[in-house]
Amino acid sequence: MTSNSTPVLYAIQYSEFDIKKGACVYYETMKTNFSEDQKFHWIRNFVCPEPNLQNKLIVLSIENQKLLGCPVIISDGEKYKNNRNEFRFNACFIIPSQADALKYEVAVRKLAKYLRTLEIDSCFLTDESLKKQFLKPALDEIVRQINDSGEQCSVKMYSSVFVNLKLLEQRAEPPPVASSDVPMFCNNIDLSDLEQMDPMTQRVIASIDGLRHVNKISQDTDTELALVKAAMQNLIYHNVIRLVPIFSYKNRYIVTPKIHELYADVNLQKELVFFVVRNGAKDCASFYECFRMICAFDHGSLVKDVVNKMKANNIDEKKLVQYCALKGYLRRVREYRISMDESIYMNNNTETSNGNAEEVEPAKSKFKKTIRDLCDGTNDTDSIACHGYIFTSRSIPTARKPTQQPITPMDSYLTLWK
Amino acid sequence: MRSIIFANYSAKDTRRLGATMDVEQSYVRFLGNLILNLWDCGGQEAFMECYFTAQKDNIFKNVEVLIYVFDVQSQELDKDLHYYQSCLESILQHSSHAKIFCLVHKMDLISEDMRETIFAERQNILTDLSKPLQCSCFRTSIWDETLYKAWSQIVYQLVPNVKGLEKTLTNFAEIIDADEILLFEKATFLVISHCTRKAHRDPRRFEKISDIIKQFKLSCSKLTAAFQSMEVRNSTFACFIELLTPNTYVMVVISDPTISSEVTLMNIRNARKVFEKLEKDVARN
Repeated sequence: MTSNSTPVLYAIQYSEFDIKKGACVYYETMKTNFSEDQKFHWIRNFVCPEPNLQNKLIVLSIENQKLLGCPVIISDGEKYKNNRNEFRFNACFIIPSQADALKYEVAVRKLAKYLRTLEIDSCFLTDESLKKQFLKPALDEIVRQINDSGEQCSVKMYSSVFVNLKLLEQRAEPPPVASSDVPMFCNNIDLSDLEQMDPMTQRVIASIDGLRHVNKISQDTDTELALVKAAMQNLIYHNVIRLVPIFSYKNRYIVTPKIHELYADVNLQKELVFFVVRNGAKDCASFYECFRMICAFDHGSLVKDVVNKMKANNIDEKKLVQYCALKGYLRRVREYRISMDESIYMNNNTETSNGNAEEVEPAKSKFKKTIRDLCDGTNDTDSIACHGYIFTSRSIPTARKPTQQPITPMDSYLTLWK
Repeated sequence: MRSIIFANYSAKDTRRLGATMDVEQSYVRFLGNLILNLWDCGGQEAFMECYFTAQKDNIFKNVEVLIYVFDVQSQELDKDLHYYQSCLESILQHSSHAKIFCLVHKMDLISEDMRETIFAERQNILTDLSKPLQCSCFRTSIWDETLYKAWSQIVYQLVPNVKGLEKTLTNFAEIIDADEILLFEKATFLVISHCTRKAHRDPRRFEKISDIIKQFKLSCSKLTAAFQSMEVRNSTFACFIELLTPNTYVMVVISDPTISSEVTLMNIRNARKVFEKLEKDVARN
């Protein structure tokens, strides 16, 4: 976190319930919107609340700050005889109000749990000297480390107890991975961490080169397709890779409005130029040439047409196209074959009426039906080609054009580009 | 106090209780058809500040009885009195007809010879402070019968048609020639009415009886037996404790040795109908 943006964590406020005074703040690492008596007065019934609310995450906002607390009540008639049989406390995090509270939830609960255990085991919180000596500096250190690293801390609280907290980034569910998708790295990963990755990721990670698609990776590394897809989803979730379409000279691409970002930012331009240089070329191409080539993809032009037109020797068109697809400057225009044969849309009826067909016949007709079924508008030619691998051959094939597939008289169909 | 009087806790049991958090409301059934809505307010400073500011309207409206409890051992008498005054102001503002009781509590922590003096002193301060409102002061402790005396008085204020009850009791006493008749509420065993025809030297006998019977009831319940009735007889008197109406117990003390138990029991049985009718009439009104 840079110093001029809002900190990840403003402060930690530790409060206890005193049997004479009621809920009051014992220590806070920094003054916040919740420190002033009047303001604290408003929220005290939620900081040290009735038993119904214990161990629940409670979020309160004042102006531009949010308070997250997890109240703890320890009941012990013996130990707290002079304290009305209970000890109540709450270590609250104070964060910017636009931050997502769920990101901090685990950390808040964990800290509450640590303090609760320390109190039960060694009276850490009820012993004044221990509290003053250890709790205050520990809380300060937690705030400092979380702000420095942006997400985690590891602080010694007391003797051998270390408080390890991590803020969890909420990320969206990764999309399902199709066999025809190509994974491409979008962030650096440290390969020295390779041993810490799960075996599946270790197996496939070397095959990720921006050109191999999932099906090919599965065959090259001799791993089951479903597992490769799962590994890809995992890497997508952690923001290491993104999916781009398979490269082919007959692909069509079109420029997107995101091109303005590239046009405006010099650093992005430099990155592009360095990436797309052809192996063995003497110099990098100029940005002008690269940009011209990208913009040549208007109205969904074929890659081979653009390459022939531009004749840029220093530019590797494969790298350029994949890089732009990753960054979003180019969008793939996909081809969808839609069968006009009505039978595939009514396949439920035909199946039931074919109950008495022979063994061999159903197999062949199933095959026929399946290919035709794929052409119902939801599968683009890439996906159909991938299915083709499964049905037609066991050896390592190359990409087949749809027209070469042994499809029995495919009836009328139309082609949709989008 | 709430758990002893209304929830059958013994004094020892109260040791397990935690602090009252803010205002705890409870509903207690009393005398069958009366529902007492009790608001137990936690005494921590933080809460007290709130009662007289943000929650004032909520807490002090529609109050019939205000019971203010002072801890006799408190080191900050001035602060306590200050809060008491704020209470009175709020009461004056919102429920000026409310009856006020001040309980000087935890008297068991004061040595016996000092108790009367300390209480008298406190009573004077409070009566002065309460003007123009009137307050009744009691000294209490959960470890003896003083708790029952205070709460009997409090609850006596709330019993409907208490005069009618007393009149009927007096009639009854005359007819059966009893020395004294007490009427208790069934669940709490607080004395709600009495008639005394023969003076007795112990002015604290009512609460003592409440205390004793309540303890006995508790012990019975520990053996999963329900208390039904009691007869105590010696050469000088006979005492009968019987269920009178579904919500009350009666205690009849007779010192005439010629009257046999069966006679008194029969009288009580016959009187039941009268008292039950009385209760029903009150309920209908």
